[in-house]
Amino acid sequence: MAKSATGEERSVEPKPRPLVRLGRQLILHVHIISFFCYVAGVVAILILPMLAKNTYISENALMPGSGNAAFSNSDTLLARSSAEELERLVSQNVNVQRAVSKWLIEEMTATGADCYVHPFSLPASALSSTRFPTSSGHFKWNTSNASVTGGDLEEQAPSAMSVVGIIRAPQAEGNEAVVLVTPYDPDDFWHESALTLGMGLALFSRLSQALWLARDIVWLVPDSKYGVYPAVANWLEEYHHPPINHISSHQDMKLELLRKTLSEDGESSQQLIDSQTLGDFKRAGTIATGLVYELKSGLRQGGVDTITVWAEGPNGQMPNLDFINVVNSIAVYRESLQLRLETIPGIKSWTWLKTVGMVFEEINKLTRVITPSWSFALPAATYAENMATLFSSMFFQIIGLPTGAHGAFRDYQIDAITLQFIIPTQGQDYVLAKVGRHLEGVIRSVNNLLEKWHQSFFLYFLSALNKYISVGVYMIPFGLLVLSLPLQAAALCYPVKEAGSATTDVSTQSSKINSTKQRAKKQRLERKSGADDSGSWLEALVLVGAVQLWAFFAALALFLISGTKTTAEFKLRCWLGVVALSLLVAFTVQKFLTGSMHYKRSTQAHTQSWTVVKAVTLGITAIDLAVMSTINFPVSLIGALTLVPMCLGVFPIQHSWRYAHSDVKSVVGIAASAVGTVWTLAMSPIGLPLLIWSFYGHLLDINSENVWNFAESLLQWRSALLPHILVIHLPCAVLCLYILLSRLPSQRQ
Amino acid sequence: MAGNSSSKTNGARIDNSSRSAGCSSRRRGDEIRREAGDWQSMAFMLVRSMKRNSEAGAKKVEGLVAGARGCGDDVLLGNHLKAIVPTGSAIGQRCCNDRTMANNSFLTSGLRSRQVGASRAFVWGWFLCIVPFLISGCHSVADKGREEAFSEDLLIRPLSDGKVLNHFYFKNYLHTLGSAAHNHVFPKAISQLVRKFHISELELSFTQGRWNYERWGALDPVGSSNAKPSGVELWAEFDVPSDQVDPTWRNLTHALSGLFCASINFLESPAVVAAPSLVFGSRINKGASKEGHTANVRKSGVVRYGALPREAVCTENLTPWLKLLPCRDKAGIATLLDRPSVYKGYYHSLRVHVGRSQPGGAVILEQTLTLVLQPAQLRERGSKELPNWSLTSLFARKLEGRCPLAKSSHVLLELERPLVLSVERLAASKSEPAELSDEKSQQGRRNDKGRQVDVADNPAFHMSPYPDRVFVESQGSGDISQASSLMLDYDLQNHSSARPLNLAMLWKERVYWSSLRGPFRVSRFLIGSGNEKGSLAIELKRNFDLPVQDEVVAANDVEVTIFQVVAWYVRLYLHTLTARVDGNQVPLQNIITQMLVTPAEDRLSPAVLEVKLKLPRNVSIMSLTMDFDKEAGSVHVYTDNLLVPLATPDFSMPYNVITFTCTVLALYFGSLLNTLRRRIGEEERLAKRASGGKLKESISRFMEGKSATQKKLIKVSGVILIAGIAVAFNYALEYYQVL
Repeated sequence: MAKSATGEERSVEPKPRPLVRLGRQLILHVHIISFFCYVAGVVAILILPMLAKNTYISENALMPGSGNAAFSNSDTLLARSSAEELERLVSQNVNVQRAVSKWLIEEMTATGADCYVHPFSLPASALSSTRFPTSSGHFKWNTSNASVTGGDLEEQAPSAMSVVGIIRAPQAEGNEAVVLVTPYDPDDFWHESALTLGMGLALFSRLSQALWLARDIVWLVPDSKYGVYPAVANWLEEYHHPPINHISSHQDMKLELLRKTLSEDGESSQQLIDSQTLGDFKRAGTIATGLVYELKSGLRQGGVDTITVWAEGPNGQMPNLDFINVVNSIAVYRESLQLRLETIPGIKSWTWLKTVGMVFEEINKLTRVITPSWSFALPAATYAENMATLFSSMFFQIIGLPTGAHGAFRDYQIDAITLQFIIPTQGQDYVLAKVGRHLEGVIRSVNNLLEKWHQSFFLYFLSALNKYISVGVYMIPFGLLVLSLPLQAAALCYPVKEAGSATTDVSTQSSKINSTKQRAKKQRLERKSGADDSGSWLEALVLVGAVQLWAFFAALALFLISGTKTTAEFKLRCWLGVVALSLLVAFTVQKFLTGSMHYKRSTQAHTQSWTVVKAVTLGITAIDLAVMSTINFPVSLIGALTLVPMCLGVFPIQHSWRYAHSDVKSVVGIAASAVGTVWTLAMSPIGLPLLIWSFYGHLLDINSENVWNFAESLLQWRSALLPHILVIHLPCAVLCLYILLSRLPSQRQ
Repeated sequence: MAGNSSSKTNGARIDNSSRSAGCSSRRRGDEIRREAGDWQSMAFMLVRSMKRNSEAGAKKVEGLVAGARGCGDDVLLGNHLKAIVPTGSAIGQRCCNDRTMANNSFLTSGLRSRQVGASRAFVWGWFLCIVPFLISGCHSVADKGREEAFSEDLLIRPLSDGKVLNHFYFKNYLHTLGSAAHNHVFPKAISQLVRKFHISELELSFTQGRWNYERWGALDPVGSSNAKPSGVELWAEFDVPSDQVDPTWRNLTHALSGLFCASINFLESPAVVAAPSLVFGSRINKGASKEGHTANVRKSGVVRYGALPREAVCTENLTPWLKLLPCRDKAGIATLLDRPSVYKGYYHSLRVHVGRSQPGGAVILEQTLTLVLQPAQLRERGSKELPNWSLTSLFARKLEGRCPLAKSSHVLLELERPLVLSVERLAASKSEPAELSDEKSQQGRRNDKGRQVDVADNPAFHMSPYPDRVFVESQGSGDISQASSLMLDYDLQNHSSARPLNLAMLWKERVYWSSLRGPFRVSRFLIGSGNEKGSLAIELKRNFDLPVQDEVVAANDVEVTIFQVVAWYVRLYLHTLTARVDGNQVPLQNIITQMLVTPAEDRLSPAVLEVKLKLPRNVSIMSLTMDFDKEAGSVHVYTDNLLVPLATPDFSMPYNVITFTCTVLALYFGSLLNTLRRRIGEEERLAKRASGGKLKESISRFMEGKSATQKKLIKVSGVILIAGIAVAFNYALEYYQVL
């Protein structure tokens, strides 16, 4: 309709420049374009597993598997006998921590390593954790730490003690180190812990005899009484930022505890040659790589011994892809171990995933008829599996919490991963030998590296252990999703701008974006009347600014309230109250400000105010999402998926209503505004929680306490999800609601 | 004395008297006295530093910023410090009792031999090894009237962690350095070097691995002056006017580079060379000052110091080193040097030291090779037994006699005092039941050293063959009630190819002991992470196994000298230097007695910091920290134990970065300029006026008057014509190709 009008106009006017023409065309078809962009974006996400490429080892220096593993049967025996000895020790001693520490110190010293203990206490802000069904085992849920957090740390004696051993590489200078971490929990010590430490010792003593070491090997045995992460993070913190007055009374207290712990029976402690330096915090140069591993008993899956890999660091930061490649290639090609990435159990069985996979398979069959060599689709089952892996990884990254102690290394730009080996109860020795050889191979490969990890990708997703999707690929769907926001914003503000500068602009005719002829006519009328609409811009900016400020305040309030000492439920109520109240204040202030600039406002401008608000909202949201994509990509992706339809589809209800009753209605238009309205309501601050509750209420134990604790842990772990929800999603949803409910002037005016 | 009688028949015995509790108080007093003696000894330690390694190229430029010496993080006082390189930093520490700062008080606590049947010559030889600056004196006695003299010794010491220390010591003496003189034994290369560059003293070392001061000892001569930083270290003192020092140094580095097949010539650049004044220096001059010359005899600025921490050490360095020996590795102790065994070790330090007995006097060349080897032994994994070893198992060779040119040739096995103590204790516990009944006689025997332990076959170990002689070291105090370290001597004169020496030690029981550690553990580390700033910290921790709480002793301060070289591209903020004693910050002037600072100059010279500290004796921890800026350069800096990650772009990606940036900039500025400069209205008017060229005009004239259908037809036929020409051309091309 509008098209024909332009056609006529164009024939009269000189041909505009190509760029202008292109822009005009874009704006002309903006609804179709943004619809297709969104659909293409979603489809692009779905075909990501098919776009994945095979991994390859990019850094030649790594040479995985090129050296023969020296880990032998006698080492396996040592691992097993050590585990048995440990279990015996633990069953004989009441104080597990003491027994294990002492055993470790003696064994480490016997291998010729430098050894020391690192006592620490619970960090001031106790890192509680999510009780997410998927992250079991890697986080410890601390329900009782509320009372501990407030305590004066100086007064509080360190209660946990990690043991650290350092092998000084015999022929190297020792300016770099590789850190191995084998966690154990003294309060929950059983067979698996003993096996992990036994394997740790076997590997450590094997490495202590290796002449090929170019880097020092640090074996950190964190006391994970408060969780593995805090223990490792604490050690790393002291490694890099030693407390200024580290010989204070606090330190003395640590040493006292150490003495108490270790030297109760004088005879054996006398044999600890380095007993005097056990309290020294020894270092081994710059840490190049971290490797956390633990052994779990379990059943073989499908007759293959498996290793589970966790790699996601804080806010989805991943270790260098080469590291995972090395772990994978040694496991698969040398030890025939099966690596797998941790997935959330439910996803693989989602029927829609399989359906999508099957659809792609069918399409591929068709294309193969045309070009036989053209094959892109994966088998539906593989597709579902890869997708599940991808989604799980994205989910972990969205939560923003590291999936294990390796996350602590990431804070210091150290590449690290966690490996979990499954040891079957039968044929244990055989698998232990494989595990030992595998670990030795990985360490040897890492040891070969001359530089920092830098060759391969840091920004990637894994859809399987040998398939990766690099940043260049996964940014495409995001770009497609977000692209429509600035387009729509331009389309919305263009006529407005045009109205303001009508007298000078040559190419002013493109008011086609308006959905009806009436609107177009009205615009022309406005232009003729020379109305200045800068007032509506100012109003929109004040409104959006007020809402954004309110959102920042809401985030700040969450932070402030989390510092108080009350129950979680009360805190949540408190926060909700503050947020609601401050929203009222924000709107009042906004009304007051816009009222004071009322003198400029014309009625015509007022009719348009919602379009200006929408344009500004779209612009801000697009910028927010783009910024977020650099902080935590999956969060921004999920943000784009949820916010883009809302932003695009939102129209004032009155407007939709009138449109539905106008003469030029189209089914598509009605459907679009209906979808927009429903989506806006669903994503609103009230609709979204209801939605989550109705879908996942039975899966997750959602109550106000858990919700608050979850939010608090996001805050403590500095997850990008919280700022996304509070600073991007919340204001956007509120503004969309505002648009939805805004009143139009009566039609006859 | 107890040993005197027994030496011939069953060897020396280890004094067992210290076993009884009755003597503990006496022993304690004794220890303190001895302690005081130890403190008088001067030792110094440098913390090595390193600097950019130009060879590392773009990938990783390494440098040593600062680093505590070796073995990880701990440096013990009493070590001779070393190291360094291009940039380096070193810390020298010197501890003295400040009442008696006599430099050669070393002597007093040194080995005062109470030898049993030892030849004087032998004792001297060993002594020289320990106290290098005494050498000349001893020698002149021993070699009176001789122009040249050569001696070879091998010191073997079992270490507490089961490894074995092997210290090869070759000494060459040249009485006069005549320009035309012909040398019989003394290597001509060295004598020419000394003559040409007017060297008063020179030390060059090639090292692989780190000396473990905690386990291998720091107070003994090997640990305190032969432990070197890894890589190449060179320092020299010249007897030339100060304006000649730098050119002489440059020439010297090139000469040595050729002589030893190493990249020593990289030390010619002044950006990597330091001129220390407090730490390194000639012992000759210090000795001279004692003799009544002016107090500050040492001319400032005649010492140069440089190090290459990343220089690899291999057989190409060993071969020229061996060529300096009169018998090379064809005869004598050097025949043991089986290359694979030598380079498999945990520590390997090749050293050349050239000194003069006095300015212009006799030239003394000492060559040492210090090896720490792990005896290969099949033992149960996880067993804590000490491994047995023999010369064959360590070197895959036997000793088949001495170098015929050597004046003396000895193999010595040293049993450290703590080890002797442990063995005594063990022996005592074994024979305890028998002794209980005879308390009184035991007491009596203890007093006159009656009871001893067989040095070669006792409950702890068995030595074969039996030593020719045993020396007992006295501990300065002269009190012999204590166990002393023992030296088992094997004279190679008694061995030949028919009767090779294969020294072997067989452990019977696990003995625990620990070597003597220095008064301080020193560590140097970086504080901070990230790419912006960092701090360098040097921390000294007291080793409390040395009793220092005694009030009299506590009154004395400890003097520590820190020598730190920092590459110019690490920007040090000297004003941020802070010192903490036992965790409390103290004003610098309270503990610093002397400080020499040479600020860095870009690409010209490194920053050199020499700080002399005086620490109260009861200090348990002292730390110095200084901030630096990482953003000055785009390199990684390595140290022997410090790696400073600088803010570095990924060098493998410059192409991407440059192209992306340039594209974005071009687009941005292009469009901006376009928008600003072009006036669209004007252009369109112009375009309308001159709407196309002549061809266009004629076409439009031709088109005029035609109907729309005709126009279309003309256009289509035009397209077809062009396509036809293209096809024909293509066909013609193919046709010609076929032809």
